[in-house]
This record gives sequence, C-alpha cells and structure tokens, in this order.
Amino acid sequence: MTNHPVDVLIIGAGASGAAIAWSLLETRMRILCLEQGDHLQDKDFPSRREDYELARYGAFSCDPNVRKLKQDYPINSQDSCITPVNWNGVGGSTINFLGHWPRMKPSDFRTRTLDGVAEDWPVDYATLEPFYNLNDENTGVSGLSGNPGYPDYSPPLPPIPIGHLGQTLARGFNKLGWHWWPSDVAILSKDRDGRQKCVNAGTCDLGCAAGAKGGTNFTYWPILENAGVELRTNSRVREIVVDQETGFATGVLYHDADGKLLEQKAELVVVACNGVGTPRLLLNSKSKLFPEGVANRSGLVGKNLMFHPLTGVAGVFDEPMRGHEGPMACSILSQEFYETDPSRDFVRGYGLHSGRSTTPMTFALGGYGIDNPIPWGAKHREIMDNVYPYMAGLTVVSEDLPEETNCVSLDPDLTDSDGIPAPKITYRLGDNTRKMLRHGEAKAGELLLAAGAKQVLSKGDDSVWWRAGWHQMGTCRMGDDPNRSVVNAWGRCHDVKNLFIVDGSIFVTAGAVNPTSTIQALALYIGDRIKTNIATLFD
Amino acid sequence: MSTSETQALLLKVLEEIIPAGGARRMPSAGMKAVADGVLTATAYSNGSPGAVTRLLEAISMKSPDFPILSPDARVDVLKVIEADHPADFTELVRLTYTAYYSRPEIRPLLGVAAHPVHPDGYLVEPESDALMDELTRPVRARGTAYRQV
Repeated sequence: MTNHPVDVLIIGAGASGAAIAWSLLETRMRILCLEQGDHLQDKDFPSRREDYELARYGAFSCDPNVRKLKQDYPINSQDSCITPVNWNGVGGSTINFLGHWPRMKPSDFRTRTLDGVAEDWPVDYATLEPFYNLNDENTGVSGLSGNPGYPDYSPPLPPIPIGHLGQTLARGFNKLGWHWWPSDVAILSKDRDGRQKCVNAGTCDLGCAAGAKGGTNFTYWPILENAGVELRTNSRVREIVVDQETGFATGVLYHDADGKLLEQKAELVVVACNGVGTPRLLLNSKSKLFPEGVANRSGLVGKNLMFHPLTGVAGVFDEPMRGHEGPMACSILSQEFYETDPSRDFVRGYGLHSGRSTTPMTFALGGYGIDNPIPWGAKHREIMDNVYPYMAGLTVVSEDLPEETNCVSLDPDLTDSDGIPAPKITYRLGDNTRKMLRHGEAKAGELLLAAGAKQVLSKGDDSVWWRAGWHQMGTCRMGDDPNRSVVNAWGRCHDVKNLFIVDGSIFVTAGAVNPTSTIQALALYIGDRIKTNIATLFD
Repeated sequence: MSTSETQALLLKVLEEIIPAGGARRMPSAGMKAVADGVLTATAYSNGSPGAVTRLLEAISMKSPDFPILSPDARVDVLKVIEADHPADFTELVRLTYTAYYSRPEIRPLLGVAAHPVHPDGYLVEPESDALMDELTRPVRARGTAYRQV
C-alpha cells in the first residue's frame, strides 16, 4: 500500500525532527513525520503516582533493553562499557532527558586546528549562534546571562534556583578561584505559553508532567500539529528507498502499528533518529547502488561513535543538602577544565556538573544509571542515615574523541519486533578520556573539600557509568570531503542529494556538554539552509 | 516450606537486609508490606526469576533455626549465603531496596515527601539578584573563560 506522496518526510519526532519541522513550516510544503512510538498521555507520567520511583526500573527506564516496550528496539551493548539510553515516542529522548542545556564552545568546532585531534567542523559557533538563540526562545530556556565561559548571550528566562546545594558548591568554586555558573536549563523558571514553571519535583527523567521541561512534546509539537504537520505515530521505518537510476531517495518503507509494511513517497527525506538509530536505519537500507547501506560510500556510517563518559564524586556535608528538591541534573556547571591545557597529560577537557541527589530508592540502588546497590545490613543503615541526606555530588562529563573502531553496526541475530536488525555497539574508553576522568575525579574531590565536605566518596577506579549513553554522536559526521564524512556542511548526504540527517550523528566532535541544545540549533540551521538553497537544493 | 514459613523466614531476612534504628528511627525492612513488595517488585526486575525462593531454601537448609537466631548470628548466616549465591543475593538486595523505599511512609523519614512529586513538587525559593550577584562576582571578575578562536 502506498500513501499519498509528501514534500518532506521526517523520520523521528524527537529533538531534531521537531526543530527542523518547525523551521520548514513557513515553506508551506506538506510535511509528514513518522514516529515509531506514541504520544505520552498525561495520565502516564509516573511522577503523578505514589510509587513513581519504581517506574525507573520498568516501563520508564531510560534503557530500552530494560523497558522492552513495543516501540523500542533492542541494542546489543555487550562489546561496550557504556550502553545507549533513549526514549522512543513523540518528543524522543527529550521526554526523559534532564534538560541540562549548555552550548558547545567555539573551540569545540576547531579541535583539529587548535589541538591537532579529531576534525574541524564545517560550521562554527558564530554560524550557529543565532540558531542557539532562536531555539532557546522556542524551548523556554532559563539561565543567567553574563557567563564569562561563552561569547555573550542572554537566556530568555531567569535561572532556576540553584538551591542550598548549588550555593554551597559555588562558594567552594569561588574559594579555589575556579569557573562556575548557574546551569542553562530547558526548564521553565516562569510560566510560559501555557506551560507550568518547574515545581522542583526532582524527577525529570520520569517525564515532566507539568510541561516545565522543554521536551518537544510540549514545545514544538503542539505548534506543529496545529499548523498541519502530520505526525504519524506507531510507524517504524524499515528502510530508505533509493531510485537505482537517479540515486535519489524516493521515500521509505515502514511498519504501521499492526506490523503491516507500507510505502511512503517523499520529495525530501530527513533522518532524525539519533546517533544510534540513524546509522542503524542507513545500514539497513541496502541496495545495488548502496550495498553497504545508503549514503555510505565513505564507509563512515556508524563509525566514530562518541558518548560522554561520566564518573561521579560525592561530598558528605554537615547539614542536609536537600538534593532531591529541584531539577535532577541542573544546578551549577564548572568549565574550569574544559579547554586544553598543555600542562596536563590529555587534550581537550571536561565539565564538572553539579547535579542534585536523587530519591532514596535510586540512591540505595547505586545512583541514577548505575546498577550497584549500596551495602546491606548495618552499613546500609549508616549510609542512608549519615550520607544520603548530607550529600552533594559532582559529575565529571568528559569529551570523547572520535575513533573509527567505536561504532554502531548491525547485529547479525538481534531484531526488533518487526524483524528489523538491531544495532550493535562496539565501544571502548580511549586513553585520553581515561586520563581526563582521573583528573576530573581528583579535581572534583578537591572542590568538595573546599566547599566544606567532611568526607569525599569516589570510586577510585576506571569504571564509568553503564547507562551513560544519552549522548550519541558522530556516526554520520559532517564535513566537506565526501571521503571523510557522510553529510555536507548543511546536513545533506554527499551520496544522496535529497536525503538529510539532522540529529547528533552529524556531530564531528562531542564537546563536553549535553548536546541537545546544539542538536536543535543545527537542525534549525539545516532547515534555514534548505530554505535558502531551495531553488538548487538537489544540484 | 509452607507459604507461612516462607513468609516468616523472608521477614526475618529482610530485618537484617535493612535493619531498624539510627537517629531517624527508621523501621527495618522486615514488614509484611515490604515482603509483599519484594515479590511484586520481581516484575520490575531484570534479575533471574526465582532468586528469592532459591535463597530462602538455601537459608533454611543452612540454618533451620534462622528465625530464632540473634541478629548478629543471622547476619553471619546471610554473609555465607551471599558468598555462595552472589547473583541471587544481589537480586534480593535490589528487590528489598525497591520495595522498602517505595513505601510512602519511609520517604519522609529521609526528608523526602510522601506525596507523588507532581503536581505539588517542592518549594525552593529562587536566589535573590543580590545573592546571585555576590556569588558570581568573583567569576565575572576573572574575565573571559573560553578559548578565542
């Protein structure tokens, strides 16, 4: 069965798919978005239930291999020290992300020139800056202007409270003379556009029932659907179809909610399935013209996978830190060690993120994203009584450098419920990252002591958080050279001129910040380029 | 073991996994609601099915008088069981924590509200402009903190 052709077909209703749909609205083209998941209904947000914490370990786990919902696809992470996490549904991973919203820095786009590592991006900070600003307005970003860590900009809303915990750590940073700043967050500090301001529930990972968090289910999609963009849910794309004569994409084959295989034709196809889902789809789209997967003449589809490896250090203070009050991941951010310093034994750098603590169950089970319960027995009593309420932590978020051996490929055996081959992750921690994490762990400990901690708790080994694969980048990177990249400087595949990619897979480097702000800025930029180049789009 | 023996043994095991006491006067996990929750929480677990039953049988074999032992002696038995059955024991610990801390009466004892977090959440006052200005002044005074390219 074939549906009516559309002008623009977007695959994925998450951060980037929503942003580019919004950008293309003014063209009056007929836009259709196919999304493998569904809308999350208000009653389904776990934070409205008494047993809300339980959801983290079942149907609302960030890990699709735990959730195992119909719309999820399994991921083989046996050859990786980090497993990807996500959400499949309208809003994508902005449903369960934590809303931390730092921008990448100017140096992130020039690592080859500045530090001799990775590649330079074909775009720079100044080019993206207006799109960062536009997206901040559309999303409702809260923050404090005047951060000396960036070229000047002003978040549209005042900062959310940093709380007692943030104030305590800020004084520690000041004592050491280190950079810190209240975190930019995609979380409302004031009511806006019918969305309720943050109520400091502290369960951002369970979806924000108030709409305070800037998931695209609350920001872009209501506008898009009202404007006539068709959002077809429970529709899982199997492959991108390419005309073997012309080399242009003609549309996709997808499964509907009943598993029936359908065809959707389109003039222009936009892939927005994240750094794992996008290479999976391209690799699954084999044809005579593209035997190794569509748009993969460079052989780089799926290669150069980057995460942000994380480790955490906690301090135990004399007074309660009330860390469960307020958005989970976002209090203050230090970028003191972000840029390359030749005196260190690694290049590039990391951020020190002051998240808040979490709820008792999650803490007892080892912390968010960790499966390593704290001790039982008398030791348990001691930790829950004397550590948990008094704790403030720092997360070391390190920049990952691209390596071709870190990759997404297709698993030979594993499939999703429609029989589509699942992704397999092959990933190891690079030596540079390992050194960076060790440095970060030591510096975080130093800071916590300066802030008044009476005890510092750190793992002191080389392990990283298992469920730290939120940020999936680099697997279809941008570039000017078709032999060294998958898409050009504005997201168009070198090999298929009406096929665009707009998600984190097109990142060239990872920076050391949460990527969603940059993903959406890039999607808006690509939308702008499409509009600007519309007359010669496929030349 | 009969169902009632199993339940009684599980309660005694749970009492030692999370013991009562401390300055916050926390109850132990040895309560019926938690025991029921351990079994319910199995549905939320990726661990091996039957772990709790296997452990209880192992405890019963190892120490038939476990329920009447002193707390210290019970802990000693459990340490042996943990060493012999590490995966199942970790699963029991996970399930116990899950069931215990999902009890709404437990959370307030640790300073966390009993209510569902939405729609009420928590009241956190925003910092005043003056306080934020004071806190950020040293950072601003040091000037540009990013690499110019």
